[in-house]
Amino acid sequence: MYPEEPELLRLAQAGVPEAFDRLVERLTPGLYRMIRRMMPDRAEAEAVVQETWLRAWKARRGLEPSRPAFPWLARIAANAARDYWRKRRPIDFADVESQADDLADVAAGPELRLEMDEARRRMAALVENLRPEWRMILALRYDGNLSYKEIADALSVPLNTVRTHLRRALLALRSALEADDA
Amino acid sequence: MPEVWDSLLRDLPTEDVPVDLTARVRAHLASARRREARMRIAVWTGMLALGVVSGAVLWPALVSLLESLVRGFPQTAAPAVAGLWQAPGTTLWELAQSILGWGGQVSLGLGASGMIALMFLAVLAILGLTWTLGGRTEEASA
Repeated sequence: MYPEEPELLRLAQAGVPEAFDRLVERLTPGLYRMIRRMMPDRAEAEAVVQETWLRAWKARRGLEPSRPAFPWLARIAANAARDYWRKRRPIDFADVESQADDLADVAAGPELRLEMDEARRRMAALVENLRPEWRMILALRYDGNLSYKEIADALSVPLNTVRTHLRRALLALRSALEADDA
Repeated sequence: MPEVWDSLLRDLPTEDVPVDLTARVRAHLASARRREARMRIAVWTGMLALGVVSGAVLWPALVSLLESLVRGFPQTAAPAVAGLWQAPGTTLWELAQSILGWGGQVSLGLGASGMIALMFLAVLAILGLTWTLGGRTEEASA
């Protein structure tokens, strides 16, 4: 998604400010969109973006020039967002795999009667009311375009927990849509 | 997962990215880098000052240490080392005793001020190690 040149990443990793700033220019818009989905308002999202870049600068040696930078940055952003949420309420990514069997099949979702744009607008508003854990996973998956494995790495949780939380988030969204329609 | 959900969620609308956000992030980073540089200069200056002070304190002790080494070794440990070369089994214990005696002489040669200076340097080394490891831990936890 974000094919940065290995040379740029190598220079950024070495702490060359110009190279790192170039990375900031390239990745900040996508990073903001992902973090904004996780955070309750614009000001908090901006603060977390700044905190993410600050942590990224300190942890720049962990950047791997041979791999895309965004998943690495997303992991730092997830930690920063999680730290923010922890200040407000406990955040829990405890493994809920055992409960997964009870979930209804998401594929049996409601028919979307509205036009796609309208549906997206409604969906975006509904996502804002989800639990922080689910918002984070949705943001990493759909705004950050991370794979399940990358999300699991970013959140330091098992792969099955990611699947289960994602499934639960979608179920919650479906319920919210149905309630909205009623 | 149904494709329609996937498609919807992939293109959810978000607020526009604030136009000055990138510039603010860069300014924030520049400020952090300046702070980092100032901190590094302060730490190195402090270490240098401590080094000079401890060097001044340690210098007499260092001289006496060298004297102890030069004088003490031939008198105590050297014969044992020579003996070890000739008959390894019998003089091993003797060698250990000699080295212990030599160590004792060295510590006596250092004197109180030297021992304090050595301890001071040890504390400095521990602080330096803690600082280094602390920085790495911070990097890893980011």
